[in-house]
Amino acid sequence: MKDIIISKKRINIELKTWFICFLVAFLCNIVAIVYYQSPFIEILTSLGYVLLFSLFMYSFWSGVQIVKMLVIKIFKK
Amino acid sequence: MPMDTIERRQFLKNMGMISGGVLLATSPWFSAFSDNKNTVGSVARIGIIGPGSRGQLLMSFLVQNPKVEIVALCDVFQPSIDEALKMAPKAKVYREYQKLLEDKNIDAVVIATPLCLHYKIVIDAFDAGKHVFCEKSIAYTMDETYQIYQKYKSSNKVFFVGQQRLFDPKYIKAMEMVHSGEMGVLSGIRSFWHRNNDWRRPIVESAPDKQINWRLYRDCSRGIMTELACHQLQIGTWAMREIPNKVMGHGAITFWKEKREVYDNVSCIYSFENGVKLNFDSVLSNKFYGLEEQILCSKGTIETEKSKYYFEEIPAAPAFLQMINDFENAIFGTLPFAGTSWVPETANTNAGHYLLEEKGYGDGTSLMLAAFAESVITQKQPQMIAEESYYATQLSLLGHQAMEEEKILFFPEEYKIDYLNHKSI
Repeated sequence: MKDIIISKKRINIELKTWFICFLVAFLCNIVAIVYYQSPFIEILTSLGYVLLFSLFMYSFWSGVQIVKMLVIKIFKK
Repeated sequence: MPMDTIERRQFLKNMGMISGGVLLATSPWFSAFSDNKNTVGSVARIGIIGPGSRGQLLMSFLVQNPKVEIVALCDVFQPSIDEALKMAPKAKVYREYQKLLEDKNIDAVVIATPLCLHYKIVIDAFDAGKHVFCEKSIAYTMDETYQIYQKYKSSNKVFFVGQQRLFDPKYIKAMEMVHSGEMGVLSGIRSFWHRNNDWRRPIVESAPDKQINWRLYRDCSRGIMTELACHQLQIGTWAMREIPNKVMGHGAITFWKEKREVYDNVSCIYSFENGVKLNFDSVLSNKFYGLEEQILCSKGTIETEKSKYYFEEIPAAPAFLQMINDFENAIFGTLPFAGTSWVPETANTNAGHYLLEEKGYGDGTSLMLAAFAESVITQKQPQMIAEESYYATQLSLLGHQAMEEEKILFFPEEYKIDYLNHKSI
């Protein structure tokens, strides 16, 4: 079985990607709090939902990247 | 420390959210306790007429009150006398209530006889110059009830009826919430009292069935209406601060078809002038929902027996979840042409809040009897208690009549008294 090597660069890219997802989710929460006139304490109390949503976005983005990679691989052949 | 003093102190502590002024506005009969420091050392000498099961329960509270002395007992049923003497061994025993009423050592009487006997005993008691505590309902007919009320008014004596919810802390708290407007507009009252038993008590010492199970006989009782509904109808008028103007209803014997003459299945709708309804239902062959009074207001619901209230507006979900939910509906919603109006409104699962912080204050019977003793000593009738009880009895009897005649009945003008929205003619 072949070892899989994840480069430092890749880890940095993935971490940055997830951080952007988290930032987007965090901003969405603030927009929602303003829009639905909810208390601002939800910035903290909804952090769990924000985290979950950021992971969901990250997974979705990763899925898109995998599909993109596969398509490129097929066309390169 | 005397039991009644402790109970009153606990009660007032429990009522911490409301001031004495509001308490008196909601429950003016509490003025019975206003002189209670001045009555220390005084004693109300009480005779018990009918110390059967209910009479003995009342006695069990009275004997704990240092301001009460039970000086006489009267019953034609010896086992009841024997049991009652265990609680009041020094009491004189009478077989005829008239003899008891002649006893000058008695200030007041507690009447806990079968309903059909109330009228004559209460009238005779007032004529004999006694203060009267009569178990609910007041009397067997509307006319008798009216005559008793008039007799009380002309007697200058104290008149209490066993409507103990008037003294129950959780009910007083509920009424304070309704009357303050905290629960919004009162839109309806649903009350029910379901049981799954035949209401029959075992016969002892070859006594006639009617003597023990008088509640099941038409010429002794109006059954469910005078024995159960009476309590709950009073909650309706207390909450509404109005007397309903009309009633319709239906009653039947649907399950207990043995030697019973009164309905075991009743349903009545009382209607107030503004259209608000007070419902009463009772089925004696299913107890799943038990007993409850549900006060339905625009901002919330109160269930007095559970001692709980529920606001209509439950806290909104976090904004983030609302946003996701709205997006989800916008993308995946399958019926954009219809709103939620057609969706069945399933029951609310709101857990609600307790009316009182602490539990275990009984059902008001103890406080009611303590108030009676205070009133006997001070010879001051607390406001409204006779009137609330009067209409509770009249409404239960009117409901019974509506079921018998299968008609919508309006409250008869001749039985109206000056109370709330009713005026005597």
